[in-house]
Amino acid sequence: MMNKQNPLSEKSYVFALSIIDIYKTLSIEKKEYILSKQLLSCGTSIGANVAEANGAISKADFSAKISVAYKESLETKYWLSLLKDSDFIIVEDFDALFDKADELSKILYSILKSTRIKPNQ
Amino acid sequence: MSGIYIHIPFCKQACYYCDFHFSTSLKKKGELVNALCKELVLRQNELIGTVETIYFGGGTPSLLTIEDLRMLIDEVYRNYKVSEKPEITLEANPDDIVSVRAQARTIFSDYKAIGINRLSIGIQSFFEEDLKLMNRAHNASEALQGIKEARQYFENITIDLIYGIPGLTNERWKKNLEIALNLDVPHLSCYALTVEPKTALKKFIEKGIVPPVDEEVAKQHYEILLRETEKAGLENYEFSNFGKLGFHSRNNTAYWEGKPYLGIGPSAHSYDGKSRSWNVANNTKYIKSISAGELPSEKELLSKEDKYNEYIMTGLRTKKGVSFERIENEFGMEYSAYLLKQAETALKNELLILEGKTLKISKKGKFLSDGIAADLFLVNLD
Repeated sequence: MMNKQNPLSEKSYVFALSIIDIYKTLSIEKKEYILSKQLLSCGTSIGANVAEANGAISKADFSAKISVAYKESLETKYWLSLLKDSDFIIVEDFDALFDKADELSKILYSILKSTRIKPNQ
Repeated sequence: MSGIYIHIPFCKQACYYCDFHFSTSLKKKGELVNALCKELVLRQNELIGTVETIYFGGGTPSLLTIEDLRMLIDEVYRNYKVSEKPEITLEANPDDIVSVRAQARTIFSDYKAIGINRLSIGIQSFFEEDLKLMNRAHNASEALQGIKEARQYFENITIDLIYGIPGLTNERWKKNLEIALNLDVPHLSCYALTVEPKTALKKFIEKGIVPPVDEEVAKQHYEILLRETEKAGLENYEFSNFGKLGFHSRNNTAYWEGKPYLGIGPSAHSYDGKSRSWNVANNTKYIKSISAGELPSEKELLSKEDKYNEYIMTGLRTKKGVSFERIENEFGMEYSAYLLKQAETALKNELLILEGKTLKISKKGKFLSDGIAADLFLVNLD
């Protein structure tokens, strides 16, 4: 039927913690401040937008917040790839984080798909 | 059963918050009505079953003449099997129907004569300051007058109201509801003001011309709405919809229940039970394509997961809730087991309740319904 499931809030929160961990490693040990800051920003923003979405009063607002979270997850994957290809993070760390980011992207896309279509009136 | 939605993409002026497709130029109105008729002919084989509802939405359908509307309704009857007592709704703006401007008495009886039996009046607010802030075409007195006059001819009336408008106090919102309920309107659709991208309202908020929408205030307005409508005997049968028994929207209910519908006109969406399609949101391109006998639409096939997710999302927003029986019949036992497992936490936290074999949102969970639904979604990660 499927190999994994939701709940999104918890997953995105745990993911944000992993991003903070890798940010600490990058900035303290590798002295990389530019790319890591970008990764920190979008990687933690996924969960923040999910939390905001959960407080949204309208379906349109909910969908808009989920849409932002989805875009942040795509951006996170981009920075992770760049950090790996520039040898700042090792393949094992990259794989673990990229898989989680990808999982979040798929969940967010699925939610977006069900909420973005407005009824005709 | 199925429904037909006809989109009339014209408005006198642009409401600052609206992101629906419309044009404020009426130059192509005649051509567009002809194209709508042609699309109805082109798609006559797409709908299976009897048409139970016809809905004119927009835009502003009350900008059409009686002849335009008659032509479209006739075209539906000519090409589709329509039930004996269909619900035919027309969205109307107060300024188009009040007698001073539009000889309303003639208009209302003409509407009835061509088969329209339900009016959806876009009131939004009974107060001038709110209407001006939203750039509505009508004023407060037309809002009141429009309903009073319509009530003389139509029993089945719904009005739209908007809450969460910047500057709208709890008292004024309560007064809005009081006015509507004192007019004995049997159905209300109340929506939180949403700031959509690319709207004038969004720009005004960004520039600091209009204060941002306060979600906490909007929630207070919703709570007032729940209280006042309950006192007045209106059932909250969907998150934003409230109606007396016998006046629930058949069109919207069919949509929430996943019944097929045909969307005619630029930007209109359709659903056939397996896929969604949507027409191009451009009047000129729409007319050109339909005139050439081609449907200007894109289509998306829905997977089993998509359909399950959509049912969860819409079902939880309705009083009917999500039926485990339907999940089992339509999707299979494993989906039903998955749903129950996913719902465990929300059930424990009393955000969801289980009534027999139906899953419903509790009062406590109402504001969180979309997030709760999302946690019940099934996502294929392969």
